[in-house]
Amino acid sequence: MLNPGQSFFLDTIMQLRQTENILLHSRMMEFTAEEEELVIEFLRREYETESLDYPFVPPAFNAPAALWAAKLAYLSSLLILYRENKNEELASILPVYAGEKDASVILSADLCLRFLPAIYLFAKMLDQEDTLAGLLRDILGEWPYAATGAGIEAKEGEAVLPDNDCLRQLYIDRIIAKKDLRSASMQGIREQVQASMGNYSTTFWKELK
Amino acid sequence: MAEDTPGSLEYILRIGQEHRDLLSQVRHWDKLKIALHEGSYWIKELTARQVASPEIKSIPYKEIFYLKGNKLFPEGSRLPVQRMPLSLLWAPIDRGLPVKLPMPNHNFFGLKETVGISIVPSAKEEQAVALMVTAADLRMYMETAPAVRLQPLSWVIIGKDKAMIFGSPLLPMQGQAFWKKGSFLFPAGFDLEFPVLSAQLENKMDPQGDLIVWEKDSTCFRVEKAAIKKLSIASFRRSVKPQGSVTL
Repeated sequence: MLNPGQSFFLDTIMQLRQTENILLHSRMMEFTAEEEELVIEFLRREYETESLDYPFVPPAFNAPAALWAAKLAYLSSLLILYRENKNEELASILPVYAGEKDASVILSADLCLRFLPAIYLFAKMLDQEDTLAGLLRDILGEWPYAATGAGIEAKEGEAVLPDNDCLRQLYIDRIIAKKDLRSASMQGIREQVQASMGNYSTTFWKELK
Repeated sequence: MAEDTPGSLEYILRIGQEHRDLLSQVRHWDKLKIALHEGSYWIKELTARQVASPEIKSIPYKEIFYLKGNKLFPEGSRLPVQRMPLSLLWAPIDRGLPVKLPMPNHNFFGLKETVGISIVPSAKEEQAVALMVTAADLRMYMETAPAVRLQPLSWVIIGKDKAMIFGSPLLPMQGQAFWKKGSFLFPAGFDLEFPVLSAQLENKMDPQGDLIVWEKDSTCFRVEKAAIKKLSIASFRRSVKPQGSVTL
């Protein structure tokens, strides 16, 4: 069912997930319901495979959040390459996530959202004062789990450690993996990072004091 | 007191030829000279300290003299008893008393004798490279494991309810640690009873790149290298029965 060539949107997202490259096939910015279904189906499978490796009990897949993040990654790359829209229209093309952000939403969205820091850095490199770059930074500020290691200041209230056991451990793991010193030195997170590395914090992360 | 003070007395030991074997305990004093003369062995260049030592004192049938002006004085006496015989053929004592090796027995056919292979406690300290844990313990850790601790590790399931973890640093869990020597894994604090046989034994068992794990009761089993997989939560969940069971 999920074959390449069915839909440009699906192809791009598959490419992104499997090789971590963005490959744009068209400049279409509208998606049919069928295309969205295909991408959700693909992301659901990806989530099932990935959540097998999550500690504690992984939360359920959240389709709208995953789709929102996939669209965000796709459209922001498209806007870097090819932009006909005015700056004022960008915010409506790349909407912020409307809805409660629980562990299920954060982890489902993260399937594609984890690539957004790279897209943001690329946009920023092309043009420091680009509206798109500013927009992406604002969005990433609301998603500290995806933005870990990108050096983006988290928005007020977003940086606290999640309540969900699974997400919290994943967050700590990502801070250690990306060696995000700034997050690791925050109150509350610091102790968790130390606890995860146990006696071997100098073996795993020398710079952490 | 230095032994080679000028003017200090030189002592001479004489012992009958039939008591030759009694000299074996001073044979390694390499400064001594020995000579055979008229049925007696003569040993010269003994010092006062050597004469007083238990090695010399414990030799029976000996006579000790001190030498002054080529005359021999018995110990403690001021009257010489005889002259030192002239023209003795002096030789270093280890040359004068050569060691004879026993002849090999060409008729010995005791080839059926065997050596039992077992492992025994050893005092040598070695780095642990593997940890054998029970499935229940591992499950408790794995469900909540931080990724950074699992990253350097690999694992293999042993039997029905055990698992072996390889790598460093190992997990903070209870279990039996193992150290590695060639293809052998020994429990920490244990080694082969005859470590010198280790290479031959390994050759004979021919692990072909696999590992041989020894247990404390001297039994061993083979772990295929190919069966050892990277340790991750996903790998663990795929390998074990669902939550709640204590076996793998």
